[in-house]
Formats: sequence, structure tokens, C-alpha cells
Amino acid sequence: MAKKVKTDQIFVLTANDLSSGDIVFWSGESRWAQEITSAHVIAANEQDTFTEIASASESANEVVGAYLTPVERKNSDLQPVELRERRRVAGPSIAYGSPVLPQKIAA
Amino acid sequence: MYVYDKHDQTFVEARSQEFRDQVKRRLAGELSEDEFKPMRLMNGLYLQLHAYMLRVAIPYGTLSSDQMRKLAYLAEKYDRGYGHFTTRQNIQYNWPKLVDVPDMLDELAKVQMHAIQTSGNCIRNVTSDPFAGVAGDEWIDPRPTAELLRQWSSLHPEFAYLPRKFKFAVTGAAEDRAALKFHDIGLKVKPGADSEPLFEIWVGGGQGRTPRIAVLFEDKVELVDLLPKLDSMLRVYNLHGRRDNKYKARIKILIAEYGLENYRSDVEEDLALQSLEPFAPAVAEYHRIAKDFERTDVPPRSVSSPKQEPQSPGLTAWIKQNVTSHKIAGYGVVSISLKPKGGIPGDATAEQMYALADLAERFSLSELRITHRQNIVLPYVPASDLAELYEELVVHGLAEDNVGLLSDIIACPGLDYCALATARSIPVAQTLSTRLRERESREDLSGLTLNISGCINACGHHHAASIGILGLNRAETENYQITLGGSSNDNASVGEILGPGFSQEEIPAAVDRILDFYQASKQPDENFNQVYQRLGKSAFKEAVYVAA
Ligand code: SF4
Repeated sequence: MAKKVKTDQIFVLTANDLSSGDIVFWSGESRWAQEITSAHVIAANEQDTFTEIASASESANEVVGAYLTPVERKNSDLQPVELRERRRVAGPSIAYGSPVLPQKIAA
Repeated sequence: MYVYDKHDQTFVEARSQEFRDQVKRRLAGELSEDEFKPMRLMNGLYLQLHAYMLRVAIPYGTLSSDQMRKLAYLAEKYDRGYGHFTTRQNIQYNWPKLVDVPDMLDELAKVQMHAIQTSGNCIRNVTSDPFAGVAGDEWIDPRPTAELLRQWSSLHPEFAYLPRKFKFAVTGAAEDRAALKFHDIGLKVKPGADSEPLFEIWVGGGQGRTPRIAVLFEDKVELVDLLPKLDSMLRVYNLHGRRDNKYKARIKILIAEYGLENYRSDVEEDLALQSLEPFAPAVAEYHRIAKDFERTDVPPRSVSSPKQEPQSPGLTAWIKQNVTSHKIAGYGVVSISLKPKGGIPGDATAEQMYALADLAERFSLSELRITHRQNIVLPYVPASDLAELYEELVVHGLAEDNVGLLSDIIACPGLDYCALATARSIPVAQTLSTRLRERESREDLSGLTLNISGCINACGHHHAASIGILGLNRAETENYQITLGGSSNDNASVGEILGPGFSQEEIPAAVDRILDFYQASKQPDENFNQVYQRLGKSAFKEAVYVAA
């Protein structure tokens, strides 16, 4: 059942691709896209419809762990409201796996 | 090192094959996610914040060169060129694809490794002293016991669905280098009559939202009684541990709520009903395993080299900080820091892992260890090779001379990777390590620890540090709580919360104020926790908050 939310709250539907694990967003054209910029914006009163779409796509083994997450518009971009979701969209904030620079041996 | 017999090898290969079939059925839609999830978790495969994550077991933190090379290969071929060594002495790959995981498990099986029981409510990978077998203060090598536990607990049918996960640590030395008292069960092995092992059993330790120090369950348990006793201890926990609330499901809560004496008497009652027959082979098996850990191939080395080459200051500092005395004269135990200034604690690139494998082959009888402080150990380095090894480590960015200093920070993956996180840990560790390396060049910051967790689950052991940092989510903003006075050594203690949290930007200055106050207040030979005990929380609180 959908949570009680402000009537003007907007959402996107997100999940992970079953095979690759990549983060994906429902783009509204029976497709999942990799960028939040392509995400279909869902109104508060449409949550049940998109929860059904999420279940159908999970049953069809396209994605895993689908859920709706609240977003807001920042300039013309969509940005998740929750800290966790903002990090999920932005990716790790660190330069992981970076090549190692040889240190100089102290003379 | 322990070498798989044909039963071990067949078992691991069969498990890998089984998981391949499960993945195939999942991708074909024959298994739903609800059906598949317990299967993937039993094989160490999580779905994290950005992607799947595979956690590979490194039993008791011991690795061969070939195994390290395989870990490097997996990072290079199936991940993004790096891996993360954890406080459980495991390695995590952050970006594997589900379709590739069966191949990864097949590759691991080729070098006698797997990912079984690195997740789920079962007995997890047993951890141990990274200096096992080589430490000068060791009574008895803990690894034969740890391997015996691995064999007893692997796919133990009765303990596959415990109320919660269950963690063992085993040590056999005067100094606790495995955080024994923060485990569900900690075993301290000491020599008994005829040098047979005798066990102290500690129970009910743990971190998370309710940190607890383990209490002594029994001392002087003989080898023949060990597995029956542990079996009964697990059975009583399995029966009485709470399943209604996962936050109260660990054995530490059972011990606190039910009482140690009640628990002990239930264990004795259960033990009296047990058939001891299934455990009959354990003593002989222990001795068979122990033989595998006895290194008879350590060549004698002269204690002092005839001609002393002049040492660079870098080498001198590195030897002082990162090399520990060995129980065999002429050798050193080398700790390699995975905490470069401004780096990511516990991360190593594939290139570094290949280099470590090669260096272990050249300098350390092909053996490596992973520490719960997220560093690497080369356990058998001839003293005469230290200079050459150091130069190689410099080339690979692995020569940071900070093992055991404050900048040797433990940090969990936090919100940069972890689905359960409430805040990031790694950037905090990076900023602090840069600052602390500078302080360490001017002042003595040994004997203190700084650990960071990205949520209350405490994988970063923040409760057990002199200075602990816990990342929280306050109104969708990262906020960091400081705890002081924790320790994971023999005098284990849980850190106390200092006061209101700080923003990420405020943390470095707050840590500076703690250190300034400590340095100004300490008496000769006093360590941080002693100063904290003497002056109390309020004095530190005033220094940190009033001075702000
Ligand atoms: S402490 Fe929390 S954030 Fe860190 S690894 Fe554990 S569960 Fe994840």
C-alpha cells in the first residue's frame, strides 16, 4: 500500500538490473533507463499503478528490488529527496581503484 | 598453510556448480528473487547500494601467493580493478555482475577458496590473529582450531538458520590482535598438559547497536570437549535466541536477558544428552590440520648481517613502525599498511594485489595475512631482505609507515557502497588520515586507534576505538557522533558517546581538539584510554564543545 505523502510529491521508479546489477529508472516507455534524467516522473496519486508496473517487471525477471523514491526538481534536474537515494544516483563520492602513484623514497 | 583434502575440494566445487545452476534458473525466470535471495546470500552475494557485492572468505585471514594472485585476477577481470579488505579479514568486490559470479566462484575453487557463509544467519568466516604462527608472544597457533571450526561449521545443517549471524574469533597469544571479546564466541588457546591445547571460551561479545564485551563462559576446556561444548552452546542459542526482533537476536542479548548462569546450565543439560560419537574424529583431525600449519621449510638466517648498509630515514621509520619481532631469529613480521595518506582504508588495486602475491613469493615463503585492521602481513621476511622489500613496496604505493598509529584508521564502506549505511565513512577517513599523517610527523600518536562506521551496525568497529566515529542520518544530512575510550585489546572497553554530533566538515577540528587536550593532559607513559579514564568524559567534552 502506498505511504501517505504530500499530494504534490513526485516520485521515480528505480531498481537494479537483474543480470548486471546496474541501477535503473523506469523511463515510461516500457523500458528501464540508466540515467535519472530519463526517468518518468510519477505523481503521488499514480503510485499504485507504478507499484504494479514494478511487480510486473520483477516477475518478468528484468529487474530486482524495484521501489518508488520521492524526488524534487532542482533547476531542470530530478534529485532524490533522501540522502541514501541521492548517493545511489550520484555513485561513490571517492576516487576508487585509482592507480597508485609511486612514492619517492625518502633520501 | 592448510591444504584442502579431496573432501574439501569436492565440497567447494560442488557448491560452485550448485550456485551456477541456481543463477541460471534465476536468469531464466525459474526462481523468483524471494526464492533466490537466500541462495545468493549463502554464497556471499549481496545487492548493495549501486550493484551486486561479492564477499569472499579468507579463512582466519591466511592466504597463499596463488590465492592473492587469484583475488587480483578477479578484481581485474570481473570487477573494476580493485577490492576491499574488511574487518572480518575477508575481501569484497563491489561491482560484479550476477552472470559472472559462477565463473568467479569456479576461479576461487581452483585455489581452495569460496564465499560460503560470508552472509546469512549462520556461523561466519572464523577470524584469528594475523600474526598466528609467527608472533613472539604466541603460546599456541590458533589456526588449527580456527580450521577445525571451519570444518565443523561449514553447512552445519542445524546451524544454517540461527536467530542471527554468529561470529567466532580465535587467538593463542598474550596480545589480543583479533578483537576476541567483541565476538559472539571468542576462544583463547593456551597450552595444557603435554602441550595439548586448552581453551578459554568467552561468550556474548558484539558491537552493533548494543555493544557488549564477552564474558568468560569456561576456562580450561580440553580439545576433546571443545566441539561438543560449542555444539551445545550454539544449540541453546538456536532454541532461546530471539527471532521476533532482529535487533535483539544476537547471543549477547540472550546472555544479558536470560543470564549467564541459566545459559550455562542449559548448555550442560544439553551436553549431557549429546552423543559424543560424531565428535570422535575431532582430536585426530586437529592434529592432522596442525601439521599443515607447521612450517618446516623456514631456512635458518643469521641474526645480524655482516655488513650493515646505511639506511635511508624512510626505511628506518618503516622498520620501526611496520616490522614486528618474529619468533624465529633472523626474521621479521612485516605489516603492510593499506592506509596511505588520504587513501581508502582497506582498498587495494589489482596491480597492488599482484605485487603483494609476487612479494610474498620472493620474501615471505609465499604466505600473507589479512588483519582485522584492514592491513596485509608478510609473516616470514628475513631481516636481511627488509631494505629490498621496502623499495619494492614504495614502487607499488604500499610503504606507508603508519601501522599502529592513529592514521591507521579502520573504516567500513559506508554510504559510498553500503545499502544499510546512514552516512559516508570513507571521505571522513581520507580527510582525517591526511591531517593525522601531518600531526604524526610532529608528535607521538601511537597507542590510539580511530575507527569509523557508516551506521550503527558498527562494521567499522567504532565502539572499540580510542576515538570512534559513527555516521548518522539526521534529517537527510550526514552527521557524525564521536565515542571515546573504546578498546578491542585484552582490556576491552566500549567507547562512550561524547555529546551531540558534528557535520562532516566539523569532524577534523573536533578530532584535533580531542588530541590537543589529550597531549596537554597526559602524564608520562599514559595512553589515551588511561587519560580518558582518569579525567572522565566531562573533561573531554568541555575541551571539545566549549572550545569550539
Ligand atoms: S557499519 Fe553499516 S554502513 Fe558500514 S558496512 Fe556495516 S552495515 Fe554498512
